[in-house]
Amino acid sequence: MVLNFEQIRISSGVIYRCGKMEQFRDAHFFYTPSQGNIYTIAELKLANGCKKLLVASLKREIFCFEYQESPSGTLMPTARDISFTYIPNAAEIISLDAFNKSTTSNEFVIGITIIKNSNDADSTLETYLNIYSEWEESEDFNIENIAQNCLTVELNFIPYKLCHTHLVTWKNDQIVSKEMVFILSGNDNQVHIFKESSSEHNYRELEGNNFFPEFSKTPSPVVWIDIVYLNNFARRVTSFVCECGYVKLLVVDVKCNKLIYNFSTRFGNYIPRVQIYLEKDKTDLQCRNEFIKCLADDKTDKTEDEEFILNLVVVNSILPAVMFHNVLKYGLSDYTTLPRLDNTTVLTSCEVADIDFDGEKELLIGNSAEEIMLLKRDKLGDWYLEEVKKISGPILGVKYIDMDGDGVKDLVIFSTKGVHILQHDTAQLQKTIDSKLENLLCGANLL
Amino acid sequence: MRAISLVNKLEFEFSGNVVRNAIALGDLDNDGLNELIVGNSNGEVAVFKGQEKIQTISKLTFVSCVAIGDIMNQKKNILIIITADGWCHLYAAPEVDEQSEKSEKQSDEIDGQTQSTSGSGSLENLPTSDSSSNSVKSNKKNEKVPLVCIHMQRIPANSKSILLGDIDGDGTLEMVLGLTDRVVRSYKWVGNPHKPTLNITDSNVPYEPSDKVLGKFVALNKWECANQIGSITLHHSLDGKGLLLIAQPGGTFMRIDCSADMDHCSTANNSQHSASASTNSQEHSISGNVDYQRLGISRMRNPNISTEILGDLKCLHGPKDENGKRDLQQGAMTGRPYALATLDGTIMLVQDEVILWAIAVDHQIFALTKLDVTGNGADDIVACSWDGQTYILDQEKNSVRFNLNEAVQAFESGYYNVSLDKPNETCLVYVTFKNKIIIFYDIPIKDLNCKKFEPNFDKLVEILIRKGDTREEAKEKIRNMDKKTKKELVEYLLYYVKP
Repeated sequence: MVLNFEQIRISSGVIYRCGKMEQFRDAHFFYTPSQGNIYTIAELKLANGCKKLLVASLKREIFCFEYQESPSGTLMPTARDISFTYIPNAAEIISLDAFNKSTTSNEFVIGITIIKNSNDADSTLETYLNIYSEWEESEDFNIENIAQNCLTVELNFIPYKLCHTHLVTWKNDQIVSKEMVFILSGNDNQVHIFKESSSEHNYRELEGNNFFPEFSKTPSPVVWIDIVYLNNFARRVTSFVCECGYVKLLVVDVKCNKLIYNFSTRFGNYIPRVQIYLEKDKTDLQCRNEFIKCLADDKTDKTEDEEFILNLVVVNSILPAVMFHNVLKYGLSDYTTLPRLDNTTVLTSCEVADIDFDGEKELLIGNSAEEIMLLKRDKLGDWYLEEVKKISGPILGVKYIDMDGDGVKDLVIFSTKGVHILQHDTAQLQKTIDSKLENLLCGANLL
Repeated sequence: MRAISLVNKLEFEFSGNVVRNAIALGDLDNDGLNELIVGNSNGEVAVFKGQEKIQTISKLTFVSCVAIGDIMNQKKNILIIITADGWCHLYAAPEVDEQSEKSEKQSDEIDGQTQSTSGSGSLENLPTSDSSSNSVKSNKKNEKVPLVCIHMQRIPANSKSILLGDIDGDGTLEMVLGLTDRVVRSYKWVGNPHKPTLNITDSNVPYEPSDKVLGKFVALNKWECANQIGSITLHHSLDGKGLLLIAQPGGTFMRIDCSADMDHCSTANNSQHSASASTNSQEHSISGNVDYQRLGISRMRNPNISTEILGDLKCLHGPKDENGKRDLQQGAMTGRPYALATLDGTIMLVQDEVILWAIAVDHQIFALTKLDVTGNGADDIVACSWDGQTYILDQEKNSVRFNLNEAVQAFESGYYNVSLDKPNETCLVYVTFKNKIIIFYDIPIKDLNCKKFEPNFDKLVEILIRKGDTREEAKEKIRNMDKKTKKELVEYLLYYVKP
């Protein structure tokens, strides 16, 4: 008989707690015929608030997953295989990214990097960045149309991480232009910026490091990049990690395009993921929704003046993950090493989100042992391993996003076998909402 | 269709070919915890309990059916193994508990007494003085050999499906066998009046299991079908009559009303002459009303396609009929539904010979089982195809799919006990062609439907009242809240309000 994993764990003395992750219900799972990688999942946020997932697997299949609601109110999951044009038969997909150019309607741009394998030993590998977009912006979102409209950029390096960010230009304290650009790292130890040139209707690489000074002088290929804009695009915090384990965190003054801070540290091994996150999210929901407005007024504690606290998570593949607290104040000096379960697994991905609605963010780390580890902070601010949830495949990515548009976020787990969608238990949600409203009512009583 | 992936699984090695009915889940040792029994074409039957294989019964011939049930009607589950060449073996777990306790705590004398009182059969031959050491020895043995053969009997060969059920409504179980030569036979266990109870303590008991010490199976009925038998199921009509449903190719089935000879049997049983009862019913074996059901379905069906049938699905009358009182009355008036599945991928739910719904899938369904996966009290249909696609359907046609991604030669769903300190858990059992048995346990489906979260903002009323609205106004406001506002409110409350 083959010992299953749980048994080994129990015998090694780890106590399984249940609770926080128990409230997640398996909602859907779809297979990817070949496995993807940590770069091949992207979300599409439609103008109407719906979200779709775009998932690619190595052997050219790209799936668009979405929830549709039936007349009876049942959610019907659909995962369609979208055939993107200009991806040749022998090609393999390396990374994938998508963004919406427009803030009010749907004008999606999807970038896919491919590598064309050739059987000839002497021929060089051909790599491309294919950029798909719709001709014009439209109300309805039609991914088939987008998939047919391709602009190809030939690359002279092996692509790595593909992501996007705003390229903001300031002049006299005014934002002159703000547009989305693709950021692509490569095996030539450089980070390339691709910007649409509207006059010629194509994408061009921006020369030099004039626009993103933080990406100069990287010692080895950049594996992961995370960028956050602060103070209404006046500041940019960038963190990236190189293949050799070199982690950098930089703060850029966008107005004059100069580096303000530059912190770096070196880990001895492969870091698959860095993530910058705000300790408390800000929302503008109060301004838009009358019910929320009257709820927000009830709040006695005005913590609005609280400063931004930015933390940085570095997920180390074979060593424990490291959390750098308040990087704007302390740089990379205030750090804690996060607990991990055992030393034989490879940590691959993370997500920082408040999954138990207690106002504090939790850390979800996925690993190769088919587990999601949930880390929480105790009252003293120390992180501890709260729970482990088993998933049926080695994990490549974790996302906590609202897939069905009901305001409640769902846990999306991308594993080597496919994509798992987990939903919160509705009874539990109702309980949480009731208790929170009750508390707000009590708060109002005190006034 | 919604799909899931399953995480909790156990894998066992088991080689050889396993036929469709040579797999069963049940409580063999009567401890309330379910075991898994799988037999193969090489004549080996493996017993799995918890995380391990506890016994292999070998040197049998081609195992075509296994079943677990109280066939002796002694409130004790027994394993029935039917081989294709026509042997019926009964295996039972020795009653270790009482015996061992007695042998450890009490004196030889008392132990001897229990032995002598245990029966007047051949067990009596055991020397009283040896009995205590013997039973201690047997305890040690019993840890290794949990099941002992208690009976062997020759029956007609070529059985392919088995059903244990009370087909004639006399309160005791009968065994119904479907044979590959289109014959259905029913048997009844008739105990030896001189040795009515079973009390086996040692596998070394010097008697041949085939000598019918305990009793024997007596044939009751024989029916011949027009076509090959798919599967046999017992279904109860609205008035509680037991009906045998025998699946026939092309999504049809034969219906046998066995309760016709119920009167004979019950009267005979009342007079406590079970042996004569069986002979009685044998005389009246031209029994029952037999009819063929074709289930008029608009779609053309291939008359050669094999069919599976499954009767007596428990259904929920209460919550289902919340819509109206008329439904409730109707619900009370209609019988239980039953399910049919054909190899071409049609799964149907039928009630009172009317097809409630049918779905077509593009996988070849070969196994149809029932299991209350969600735990809501109603049976769900679990259908498995040769390529490992498994469909879980409730009686409202909501479905969830699971793909094993591997070819399957035998499938069963039910309850299995994974660890002793936990109750039986829902499970799906697959026997693959790669010498593996895979048990997925604790199926995490609480609801077959996935819905958006529909919040209830009753508590918001009070807050709005405090803001100066009247109760009516506040209620009205909440009622008229549009989808977007609702969504934003949910999001705000969950993610931006401290608890």
